[in-house]
Amino acid sequence: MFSAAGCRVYSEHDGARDTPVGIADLVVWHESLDSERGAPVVVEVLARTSATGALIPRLRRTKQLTGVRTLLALTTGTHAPYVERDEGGGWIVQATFRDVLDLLVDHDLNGALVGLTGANRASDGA
Amino acid sequence: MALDLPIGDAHTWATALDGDELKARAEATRNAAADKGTILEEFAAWLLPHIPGLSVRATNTYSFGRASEVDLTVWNEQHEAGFRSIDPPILVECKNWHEAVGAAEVAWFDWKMRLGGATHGLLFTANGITGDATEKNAAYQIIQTARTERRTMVVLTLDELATQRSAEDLRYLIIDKICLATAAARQTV
Repeated sequence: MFSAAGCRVYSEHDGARDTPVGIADLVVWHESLDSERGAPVVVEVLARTSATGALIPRLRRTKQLTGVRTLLALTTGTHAPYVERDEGGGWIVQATFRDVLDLLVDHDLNGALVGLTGANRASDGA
Repeated sequence: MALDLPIGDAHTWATALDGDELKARAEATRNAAADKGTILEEFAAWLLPHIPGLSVRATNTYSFGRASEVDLTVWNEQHEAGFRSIDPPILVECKNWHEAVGAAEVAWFDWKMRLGGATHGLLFTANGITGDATEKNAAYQIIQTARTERRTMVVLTLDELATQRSAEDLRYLIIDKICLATAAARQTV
């Protein structure tokens, strides 16, 4: 999905079913990313759950260890995007594959993230 | 000692960098106290502005109390064909050392970045840094620790730089290093 959207995609764990907690599943660079979203973006693939609450501490930890400004967690199911903004201006965005795919059809990665972070500002600072 | 650098347009140099010559010059000046690091500074100051949006704004700048010196301060206009996402300034440290640069020196560079409010730093080295990039030990641990505070240090060696033919090559070398280090980030303590 990200490669098709023109991103450079990096992973230390090609082919691995699970990555250890704290290590990024994917690291994605796209020329469109601005300093507000930051580049690269870390992508976590959460194929087996969409339960936000239990995952957030883990996502925060991965974001801190990788030092990125934006972490995007992809989930299955049909829930609304969850958006969290930290004190340093960083983002944790949890959204479904479907929503991200739909946004990437019409937008570059930066535009897709803007679409997601604008979609549910009520959860900022949660 | 001036370097004979390849002539090219704003973004591409006409001939490959002569890595052997570059290393020979670096070696020749390594033990001269007055020239220590100067040849790498000169090289970095020539090389980096090939990337759209980057310009060297200051060289050998001392901190207010003269406790530390920054070799190059690079401004980034965040050009679309350059590094759109990286906020200025980018600090550059040059170490023309025969041995790998150790944790203490890397930590000192990190401190300069912290004081200077820089999120990105480039460390030009003749022979890399100590430790193992995967194990995140020795100097690599400093880089990993800085990462958790959103400071990114990119280590560039003469061997790597000598193979670059264009600004785009150099840009992607830096992007690849940032992304691969992000993918390899892990707990170190």
